[in-house]
Amino acid sequence: MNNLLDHLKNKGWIWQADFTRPLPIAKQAVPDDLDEYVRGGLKEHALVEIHSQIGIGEIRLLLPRLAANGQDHRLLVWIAPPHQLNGECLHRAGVDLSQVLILHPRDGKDALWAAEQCLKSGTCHSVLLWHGDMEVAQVKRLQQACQQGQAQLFLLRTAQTIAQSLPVSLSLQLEAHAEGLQIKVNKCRGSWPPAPFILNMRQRWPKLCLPQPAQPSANVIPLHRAS
Amino acid sequence: MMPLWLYLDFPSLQLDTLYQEQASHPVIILNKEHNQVIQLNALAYHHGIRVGMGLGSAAALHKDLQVIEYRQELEAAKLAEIAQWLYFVTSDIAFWSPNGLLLRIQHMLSMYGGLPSYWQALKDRLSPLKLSIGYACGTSPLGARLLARSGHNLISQDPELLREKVSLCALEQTDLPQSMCQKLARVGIRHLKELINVPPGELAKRFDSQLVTYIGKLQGTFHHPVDFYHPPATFNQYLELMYEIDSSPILLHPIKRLLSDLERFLRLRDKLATVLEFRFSQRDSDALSLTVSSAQGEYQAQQWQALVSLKLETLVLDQPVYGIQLAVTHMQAKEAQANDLFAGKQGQMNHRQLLSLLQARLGTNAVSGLQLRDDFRPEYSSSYCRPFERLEKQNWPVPTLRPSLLLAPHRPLNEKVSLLQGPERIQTGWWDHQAIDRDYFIARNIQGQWLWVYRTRDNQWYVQGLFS
Repeated sequence: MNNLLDHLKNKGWIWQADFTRPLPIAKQAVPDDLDEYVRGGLKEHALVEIHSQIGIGEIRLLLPRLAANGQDHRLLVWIAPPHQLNGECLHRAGVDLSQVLILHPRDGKDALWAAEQCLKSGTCHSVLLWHGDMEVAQVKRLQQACQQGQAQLFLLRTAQTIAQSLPVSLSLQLEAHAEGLQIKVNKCRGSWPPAPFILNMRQRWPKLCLPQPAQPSANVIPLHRAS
Repeated sequence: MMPLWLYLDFPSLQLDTLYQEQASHPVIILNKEHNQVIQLNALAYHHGIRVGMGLGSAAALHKDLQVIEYRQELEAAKLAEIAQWLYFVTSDIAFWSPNGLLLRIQHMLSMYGGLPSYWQALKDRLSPLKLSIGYACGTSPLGARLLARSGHNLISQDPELLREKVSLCALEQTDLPQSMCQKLARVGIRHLKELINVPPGELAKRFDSQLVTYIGKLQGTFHHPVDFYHPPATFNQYLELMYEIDSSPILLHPIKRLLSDLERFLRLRDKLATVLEFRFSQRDSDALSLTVSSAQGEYQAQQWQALVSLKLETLVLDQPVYGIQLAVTHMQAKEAQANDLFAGKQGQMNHRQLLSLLQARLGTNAVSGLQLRDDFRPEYSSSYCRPFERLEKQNWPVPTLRPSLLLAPHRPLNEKVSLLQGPERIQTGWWDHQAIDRDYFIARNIQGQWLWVYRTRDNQWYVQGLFS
């Protein structure tokens, strides 16, 4: 019995709450914005699920990661994005546009098929997939494809589709916030999910944050007019 | 150098071209005009059917007899295919309609070091085609043909022996018309030797010019013009199916055979095919065409097979298919692909192979790339394009913050937003009648979505993008 438990533990299939699994050696040393909040940041999780309303910064959250992943000159695939992608934004974020593929599959079945092919081909570093309902078996298949092709899958879903827990390695739920994003980690493989936190995006996207309320600055010394 | 010819006779060419894995039924090829069996398989022979029988007697001998109409164009196509295949071991090949090939071999002998090794090479080349063959050498084209068709199967370069064998042939076996053979038989001439021994002058006095020309050509004294074959530049092959197929996945099996022929064709030329065009001949309906393309070009049958099977999944057959034609018109030279040895973990594919795979299933238009254009108008500055169209990096800087998603068409702004950045005036495009004059703002709505909105000159507000 103990053998079995050890075996499962070694494989990383079960985990004890007082023990944090050592992370595999980082592929790219580029740090993540999420590093300080989530164990391993974005880069250590092969399959990341993101529940978010559209247009609040969900792609901006991923852009630095995508640009870093693209350093190995593999492809970046966008499957069924809800609107037309803007090359200017990606270019500005450091994504090489000659490595970008955008797929418009007819239905969800084709989208999943395409995602699997791209992931396991070994020619793509990341795949972004917009997809509604997913089943556990489908997610497992995609996870295997990620491992086979050493690729990362970002599964973007609308906030309404949280029905069941899928076997993803990281599941984030995003809410709009004045300073950037409020992130709730639903699941983080290999550790306890941290408490909901606020990711400050002011540094990366200063124009896309609400102006800070004016507060009296301590540096200003009121000068008294000499009488 | 003494001229030496080799004739290859394919007596059951049409039968051999049929796609059949196992002959479970007796099959005959019937010449409709003469109502004669002209080709039959071993099983049919076993049941007592012979060449020359009428359809009635053949059908009487077996109840499950399969009858196929003789079509000369099929044999001609197959003959061209054989010539193409043999061209890699021997150079001078000429067609002899409908089912023979004439090879001029005296020049090849010094290359192969003698007749036995040449014949061995030729035989090895022919054996994968699984054809029944009659063959013979001859000092003249007609001599070789005569010996081959009379079943001598003789490989020799001894002119005396060859002449002797020819002279022993009966007149019925020659290409002389039946009426002339009967005429000659009436004067007691039944074998060629009786004609060959007559001096040409005497022959000309007694018989007409047709016979004199024939005998002259047979003995090699008259010139026999021959047109030699030149290999085609494109691949075009037709496969007639033994059974009609009405389900598209099953079509893959016969297609495999065509693809392996294509692989051979391409490998020998060191080329890659980029587009395959299939035509499925359907019963009672127009032929169905199917185009399969590969972005990087492939030659291997296995790679093509994967792409074709994806296409077949979506193909709907209205009618059963009885024949498949594969044509390849677009070919390109093979280029070396340099992969970085130290980069490791290169999957089994490269970018273009993945693209071909995706396009095969999703459709060509469902896959696009992204490019920048040197324009200030947001509608034009970024556009979808054909994948991998631009290989050079586009390096101009993007002046300012732009949204990641663009709405097409633009949506009228009909909610309450707070404008946080702007205005940024874009007033350009006067040269192509698509002029715009807008003030852009970055706005945030109550749900926290970041919108890219603009105001036109006449104070209309629209949403054009999302800062996702």
